[in-house]
Amino acid sequence: MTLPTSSAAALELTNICKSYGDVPIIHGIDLAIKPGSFVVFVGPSGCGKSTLLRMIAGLEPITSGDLVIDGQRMNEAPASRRGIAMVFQSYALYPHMDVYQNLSFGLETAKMRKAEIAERVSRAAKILKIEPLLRRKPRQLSGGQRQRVAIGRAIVREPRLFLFDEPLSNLDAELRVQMRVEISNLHRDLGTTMIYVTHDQVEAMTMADQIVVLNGGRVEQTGSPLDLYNYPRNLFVAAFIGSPRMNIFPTSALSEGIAGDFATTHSLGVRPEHLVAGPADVGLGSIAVEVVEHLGDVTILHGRLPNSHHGVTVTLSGQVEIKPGATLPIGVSRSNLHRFDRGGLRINDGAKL
Amino acid sequence: MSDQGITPPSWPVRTITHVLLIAASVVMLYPLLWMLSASVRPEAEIFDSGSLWPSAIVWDSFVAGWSGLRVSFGQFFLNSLVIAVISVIGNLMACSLAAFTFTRLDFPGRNFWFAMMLGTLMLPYHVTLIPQYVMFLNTGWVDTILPLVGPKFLAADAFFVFLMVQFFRGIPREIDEAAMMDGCSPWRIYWKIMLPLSLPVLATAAIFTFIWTWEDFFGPLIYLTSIGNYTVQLGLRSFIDASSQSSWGALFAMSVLSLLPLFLIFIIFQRMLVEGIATTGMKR
Ligand SMILES: Nc1ncnc2c1ncn2[C@@H]1O[C@H](COP(=O)(O)OP(=O)(O)OP(=O)(O)O)[C@@H](O)[C@H]1O
Ligand SMILES: [Mg+2]
Repeated sequence: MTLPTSSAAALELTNICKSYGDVPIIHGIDLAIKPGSFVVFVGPSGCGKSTLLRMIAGLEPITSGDLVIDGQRMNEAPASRRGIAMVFQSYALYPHMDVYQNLSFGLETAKMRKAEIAERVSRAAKILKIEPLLRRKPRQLSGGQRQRVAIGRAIVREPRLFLFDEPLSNLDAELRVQMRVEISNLHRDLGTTMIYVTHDQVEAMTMADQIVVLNGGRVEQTGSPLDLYNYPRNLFVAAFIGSPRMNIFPTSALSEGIAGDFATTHSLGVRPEHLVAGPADVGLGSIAVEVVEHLGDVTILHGRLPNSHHGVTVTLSGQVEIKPGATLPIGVSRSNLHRFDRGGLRINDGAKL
Repeated sequence: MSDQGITPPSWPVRTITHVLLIAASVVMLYPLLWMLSASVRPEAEIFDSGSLWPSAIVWDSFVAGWSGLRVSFGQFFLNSLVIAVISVIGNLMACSLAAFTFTRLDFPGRNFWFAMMLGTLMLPYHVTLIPQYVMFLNTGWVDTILPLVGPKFLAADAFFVFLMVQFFRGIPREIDEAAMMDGCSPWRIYWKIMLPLSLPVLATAAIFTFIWTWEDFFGPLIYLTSIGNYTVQLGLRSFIDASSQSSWGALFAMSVLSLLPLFLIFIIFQRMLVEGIATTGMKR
């Protein structure tokens, strides 16, 4: 089942800034988004993801910089003329209209013919499996159904760009996974450019073609999920992407012998899943295990390095018999080490990038 | 949990409470009941008997009242009704538009003008009375209903603007924003989104406007001079005549009739009214 593909938008942000009064919130964002891609904005709370999205939507004036959609500067264009549809975190369905009216409202506003409206609504309803709900009011729907209607309201307009602001954050875990897959499928079927805001990094990793990591109103790094995972450009991205988060050791916390190998390095990053028990390229010594978490498929250990007592997290695959209080020699293969300089930037050696 | 609820008072306490409450309501209702009984008893008996019970029920007062004046009382009812209905329409349109503007549109000096509007709430009617009268005299509107209904179309009732502003503020912004993304102009958002979502507050404003204009004596007294334009309240006053004999029976009979519309409205819209009051001031 496919909708007639509406054209997908290319998006270009150049030095976009935003201030509320005198307070700068977004500090010069440059970003190029290819037509048809699925872009995810991630970042900690308050970093400006929603603000950026709302500037693209036209709900928030842009303080400075250029917003170019399909080659046209759109800074001043009203929201309705940008060809964008948005799905809000709170769904923002019209409470007094039934599902059909919620979907058709935008089309009626555009003065579309009744017959065509009916056709588009029924097509969207079919895709989202909300046909039996068309005569219900939003308050008679469950969270997941409301979410579908909100998405339906976006797709009937056949926009060239979809914006999603944390659309799944009000759903329970199971439904989130299901809707995540459905949104990904929708993207594949429609082929439209989508920008998706979340602070759930599993959503980011699984859905995105391109992830944009934001922090404090700046872009920390842009790239494919695996790029960010394998080659985080700085300590922030290294710690933000991946779960459990990457172990970051100042080289001073490591034993003499190892630290000597990394004279120019200020800190070392090792993902918990890359640490192995037993001998490896780089031995980190025997850790004192403090907490053991059995998740079934993996076992997560929280312990302390020898000497410096720096905290460390280790993810071992499978179910490992080990008790708190035990000691365990750990190490890591050299190719899985991330090195960072004094300023927190990645040091690339020959092997990587 | 349920055991810890408030224990009901014992029966003597309950009985005493009820007796006191009933006594208080009888005291408060006495004038009303007295008027009711005065309207149906023989006119000679009105001021001679303190009892609420008429010796006989006669409808003469109603007949005398309805057509006792130069103009039929029906005309007064019609005049009052026209004024009240036009006022309701005016207030609903103008106050909701003003409230929408104050809550949803951005314009220079918005807060200043909002404060000014609230300031007019503090002004007693009587302060602006004379300048207003002079103004309407100059426009030649005196002895028409225009001075009474015209200001309603300019959102002159700051109280209702304020009430609606409070209500509109409780409607989530994201709904407007969704409508904006759907291509709506502010006008369409107002008409298709805000108004339908504001029925409780609109009902409250409509009912209170109706009641207050219906009851208004002062405004019509100032602006309406010829008897053909009189409202019910002015008509009632005409029964009391200083120079000749006052017809009290007719006065009370027509007073009873004048209460009927209010009574009906209250009964019909009571639920909406309560809901409206509850949802405006203290939403969430
Ligand atoms: N209307 C406003 N006036 C002033 N400051 C604002 C306004 N809206 C947002 N901000 C500030 O801008 C910053 C970014 O807000 P934004 O809502 O974009 O964050 P976010 O990344 O979406 O966070 P979250 O993940 O919690 O949704 C925050 O520090 C916030 O306090
Ligand atoms: Mg946000």
